[in-house]
Amino acid sequence: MFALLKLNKPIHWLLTIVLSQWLISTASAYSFGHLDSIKVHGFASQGYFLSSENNIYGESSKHRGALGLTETGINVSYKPLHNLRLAAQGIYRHAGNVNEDAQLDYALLDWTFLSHNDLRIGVRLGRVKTPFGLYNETRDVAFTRPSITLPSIYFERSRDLLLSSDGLQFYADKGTPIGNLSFQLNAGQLGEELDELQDAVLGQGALGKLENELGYLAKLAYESTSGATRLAFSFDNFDMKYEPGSGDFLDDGNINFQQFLLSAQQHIGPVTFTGEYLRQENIFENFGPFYPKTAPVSESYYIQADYRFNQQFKGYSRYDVLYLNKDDKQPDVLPSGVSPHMTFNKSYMVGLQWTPASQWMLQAEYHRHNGASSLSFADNPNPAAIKQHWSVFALQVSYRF
Amino acid sequence: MERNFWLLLIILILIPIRSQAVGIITHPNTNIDSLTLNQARSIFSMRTQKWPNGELIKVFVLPETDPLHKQFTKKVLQIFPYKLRRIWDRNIYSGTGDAPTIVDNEGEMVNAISTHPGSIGYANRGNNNVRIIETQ
Repeated sequence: MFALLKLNKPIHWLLTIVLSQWLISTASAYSFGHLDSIKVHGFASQGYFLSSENNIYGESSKHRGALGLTETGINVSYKPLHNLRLAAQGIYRHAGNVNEDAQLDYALLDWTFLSHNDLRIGVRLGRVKTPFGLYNETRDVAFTRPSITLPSIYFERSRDLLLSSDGLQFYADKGTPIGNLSFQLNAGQLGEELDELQDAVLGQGALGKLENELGYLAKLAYESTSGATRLAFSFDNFDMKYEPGSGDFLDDGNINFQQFLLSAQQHIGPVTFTGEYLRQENIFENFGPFYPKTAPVSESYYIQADYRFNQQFKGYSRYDVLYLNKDDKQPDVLPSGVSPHMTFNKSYMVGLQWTPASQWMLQAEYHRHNGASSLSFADNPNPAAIKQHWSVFALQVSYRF
Repeated sequence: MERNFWLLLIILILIPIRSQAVGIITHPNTNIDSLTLNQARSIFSMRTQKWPNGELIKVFVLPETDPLHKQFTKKVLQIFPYKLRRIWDRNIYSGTGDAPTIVDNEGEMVNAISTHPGSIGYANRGNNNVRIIETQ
């Protein structure tokens, strides 16, 4: 359950060193009375889902729906020097039958080695959150999401590829008269919970295990000085190797994903428009005669409009599309156990957000789906039971400090 | 009659000036006379972290629901308060930045600014204990 500190890889030794440095610094901060430079924050949200068919985060299609998504975390940040930060966050997440565990979300040492005239350059070591699009870095914190559930481009099945990387991040920020430019480059070991992804690409009957190699992720972003305009370009490269099981019909193949993401957001008075477009190039090869080489291109995009009525109320609406193979939208051949409806999604969503106080938020949403790409195998083990058209009503209450 | 007319005119002229009732305040040692709009935005977004003399900037704000905070963000920084809040949230929940220190009321704000070297915040212009920094 606790995948915190497995010391079987060099990167985990690095994490342990970073964490222990952090603990030592915190202890000395306490003894030297520097407690006011230690900051603690946290969050907790609980989601309720009721779906007409199919299961999302637990048995949402049963009579009374399901309290299927719990997300909570606590973080600490300490700056022993003006250009050095130590930060760590632990999270607990229960998402239906997909996962229920606590883990270290990030644990890093942030060293800004150049800080001069609006230019900052530095490096972060340890477990670092992945910069990808407008929302990935804080995807588990309800207050920083655009809605209860994330748009399709933040594919749940690829969650462990995108959550964080154990290694290093190089970053550079430059303030200009028209806005702030920022660049981040992560290189490191990615998460290991690839079951959902494996089921989707190799079929539920695959006997072996998919494993990650080093991942590379980069993001270039612009934000105007008022924050009214945000633009970003993100790129990442993932390589995975398949370790066949005994008697496996698949060879030790490899998979490569490359993601290209364009993001834009514009505030005009009380209205905010947000759009992101993802192109994902996939290569599956060397799996042997039962799985010939294939290189499909996936595509996903969304457009969302938010209308802020006043300080407390905001309404929002989104149209979201995903095609696992943009050139073959109704594939005949699929991995075993994968329903044809799972290869695409077109959905409309409308929601209302209420923030009665800055620490509390309540959201209610209605989603209408044509397609089941967002469904998990863990919550929907029988592909024949998956329906193409379905709708979801979701409620979420969130707290932060 | 004419004196009343002039008094009324003066009052009417003063009202628009008085409506920007909130201004930036800093610790006396910061030696800042004015800030540009971009500089102010960058400081309160926690992007600019040091004063020109190299001293660390310590940012104080009031709670999001406080009318003075709303006035400050909209009139002085010209950013929606919830937009600023999102920027701080992205910082603190990714471990890559900070959020300002929140104080409960204007009295605590003035107290904090006067006791923390390098600090910056905001207060009512009518408050006699502070020196207002102008923004352009």
